[in-house]
Amino acid sequence: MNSIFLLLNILPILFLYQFGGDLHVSFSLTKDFTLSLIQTPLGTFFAYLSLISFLLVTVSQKSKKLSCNYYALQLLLSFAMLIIVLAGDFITFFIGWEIMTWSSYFIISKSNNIDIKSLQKYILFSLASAFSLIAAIVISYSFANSFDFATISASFKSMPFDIQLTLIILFSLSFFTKAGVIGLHYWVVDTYSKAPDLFSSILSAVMSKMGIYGLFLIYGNIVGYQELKIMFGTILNGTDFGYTLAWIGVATSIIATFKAITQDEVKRLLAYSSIAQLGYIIAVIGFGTTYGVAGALYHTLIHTIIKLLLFINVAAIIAQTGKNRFSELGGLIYRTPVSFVMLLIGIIGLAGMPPLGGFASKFMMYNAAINTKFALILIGMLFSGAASFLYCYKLVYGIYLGHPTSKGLETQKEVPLSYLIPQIILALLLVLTGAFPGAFVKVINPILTQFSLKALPYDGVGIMDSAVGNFNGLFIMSAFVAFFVLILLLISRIKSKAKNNINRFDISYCGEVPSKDTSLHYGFGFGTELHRIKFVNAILKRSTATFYDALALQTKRSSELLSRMYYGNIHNTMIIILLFFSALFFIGVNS
Amino acid sequence: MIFQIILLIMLAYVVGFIYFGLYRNILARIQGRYGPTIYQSFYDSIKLFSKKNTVNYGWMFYLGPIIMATGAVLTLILVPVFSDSDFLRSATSQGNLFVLLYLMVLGPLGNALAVGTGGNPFGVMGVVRGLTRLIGLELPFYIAVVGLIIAANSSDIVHIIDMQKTGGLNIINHPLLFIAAMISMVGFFGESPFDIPGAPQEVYSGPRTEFSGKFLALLMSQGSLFAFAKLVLIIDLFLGGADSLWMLVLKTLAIFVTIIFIGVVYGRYKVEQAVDFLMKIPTLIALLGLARVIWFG
Repeated sequence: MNSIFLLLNILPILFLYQFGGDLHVSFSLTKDFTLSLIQTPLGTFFAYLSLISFLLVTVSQKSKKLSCNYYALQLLLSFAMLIIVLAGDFITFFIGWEIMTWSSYFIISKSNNIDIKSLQKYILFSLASAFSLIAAIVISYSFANSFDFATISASFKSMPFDIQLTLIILFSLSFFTKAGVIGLHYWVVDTYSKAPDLFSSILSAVMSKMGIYGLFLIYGNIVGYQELKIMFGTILNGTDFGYTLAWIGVATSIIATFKAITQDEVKRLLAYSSIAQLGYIIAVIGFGTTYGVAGALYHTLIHTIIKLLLFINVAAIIAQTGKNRFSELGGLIYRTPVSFVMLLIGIIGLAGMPPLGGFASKFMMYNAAINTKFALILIGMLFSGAASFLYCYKLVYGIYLGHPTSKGLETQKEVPLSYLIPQIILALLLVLTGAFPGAFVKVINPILTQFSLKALPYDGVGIMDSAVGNFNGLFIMSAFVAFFVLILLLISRIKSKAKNNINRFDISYCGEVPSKDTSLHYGFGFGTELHRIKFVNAILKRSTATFYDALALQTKRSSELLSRMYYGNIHNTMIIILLFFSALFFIGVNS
Repeated sequence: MIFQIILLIMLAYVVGFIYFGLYRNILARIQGRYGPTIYQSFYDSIKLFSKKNTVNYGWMFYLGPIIMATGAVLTLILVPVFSDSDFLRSATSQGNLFVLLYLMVLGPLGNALAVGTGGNPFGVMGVVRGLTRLIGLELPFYIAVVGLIIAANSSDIVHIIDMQKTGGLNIINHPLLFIAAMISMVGFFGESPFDIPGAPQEVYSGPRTEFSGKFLALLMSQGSLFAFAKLVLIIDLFLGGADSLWMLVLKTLAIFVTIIFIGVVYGRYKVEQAVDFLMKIPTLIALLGLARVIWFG
């Protein structure tokens, strides 16, 4: 079963590679409506990103005995995303968006540990996103008389300012919901943590990126970065619009980072980390400068790689041990060494440390902020990066280091090869993007041209160049490897007798010998000290759940109130409804 | 290039250890003791290299200190040592200030991994304290660094040094940023009131609890390299770098002694107190300095 669907996942990649380039297909439904697929550089980038992600996840699904319709739904989801990124008009886009919503909904509902409340959250937020999208589409149609991206883009300039603003807000809200901007992220954490373990990687790595694609489409293609500058004016060296969006992104990133640190469930931590990383992308996506767009694109790529790697890794551990909390795991390093190394590479990338690709993307985004002189935004991003080291360490410590906390962990075996192969490929990609950060410039430049921005300078495959500083990824990578090997050789030459630690309780512990009942795994303790820091506690004690719960309660009450109006006589109720709508109609006609 | 790198490492090693010996001496005199000789740390390190390890916790425990040493060496070679000559500056053009900021945490990550493998809860407590402290510690430092980057419109350290040759030293142009960065530096050097991760009497010696023999020696050696790199970075950023070896020693010593004097006077904060403090006064100072940079250039 797996191999058939594996083949079906490879086919679109081959197709896109063979026939892609300037794909332009249109199909007219009626005289006025035409569905069209147009391949743009931006769309191609996102198409390859999602297709390859699906392929890798399908590889890792081999050891899971999944049903045929699960695979079919997943394939449909992949197809829907392909439609979204290749769409040439809003009807096609919306069709793709809808297929994506419900096919993922069905996959999530197949999970073993999903509950009805989380499912409802997911579908409600997806619907809200879709409604906001369709409202924006209808408004733009009423002005442009077309669903075509190019036509709407051309007529956007002639729209009144308040309509322009409404359109931007509606589109943004829709895509923010998908990407999980703070405030609209209520569904993200529950869904990511309760979805099937391997499917969480798709949700985090690919589906959230559809929100980012949508934002690029609106800001870059439909509205245009130049038009945004004219519409909103400038602040420092950037635009007002970019600055506002940057604050939304930075706030998302900081809040989600602190929330991530205090989570006990592994996948909840990753979900919050995903929100935080997308916060970075949203912070720079509105800048409308070369570095802003390049940084957002680069981080999209890196985040996809890292989150696929981490979610697959964690899924493998959960499948192997049956435990999904830090307080139940621990001490797996010598039981599952390859998994450990893969996770380690993943978190070094996630933390954005130099030899790996995570640094190159962050560097690009920081450059964008320097370029526009958005100092506070840059500090916010750096600060959230510093705080993210904590959850990165929690991830690796809670699972692999320390002491085992449950029975069975000490006799655990390495995870199956089908989980490891995609991880190794992704880890290699991280190493390669770290050593050759300049290689990606060639992918970004056509997209920059599409947005009519200046292209990035290209100084060789190892160098990431910008106006405000550059670094040589290849040098840093090779210097790191060289020094590491050198020091390792020198140290191993020093022969010193060491007792091999046979008993894991053989540690210095206040002069006592810990027993099996002593709790030595510090995994629980992580993040509790953050509650004692006033500023962080102010973030941690607040939750959007209070707002949405109150909203749900009020909706329930008002609907109860409404239901009282129905007192058993259908005719009267119908007359009231009819009168209400006729009143609305007359008001509408007269105005 | 390789010759220069080796020379740089040797210089940093010697200077770092002498400074550490000096530190122990100054500390002793303030506490009314004589203290060890100035070369004592050097002897200690050589002695430790020949001592046997107490226990071995497997390969990650072995590799952790090596990653940490690699991080320190890499940081060192990316910091320009002299302001005027290209001597000992062979690799600095390959990186920038952001690379350095992130490399400075790569080493501690390696150490943290080894500590986690060791399985000593006190070691991990030290690491977590350190990482929590980092939230506060990095904030004023980042603001100061960002202020300088925005003022120079470049993240290239050589460019920042060159700017100071014509435009005056950053310590005079941006005194508030300097004060904020120095407060953070006290923490980066593990001095009171921010010496939380390795706090004796609380968590043994924190992250170093389980290390012995050659690993402890390696950690000590990389510590001196790293300390030298941090000192040179500070003088590059704020004091215009050093044009000769004497200026280098003079300026780094001035910074180092200031940090020590702050360190010996204060008691230790709790981790939440430290972060609270760092997020208030030093951050405010740094933000004022930043506002000055943005609005008055």
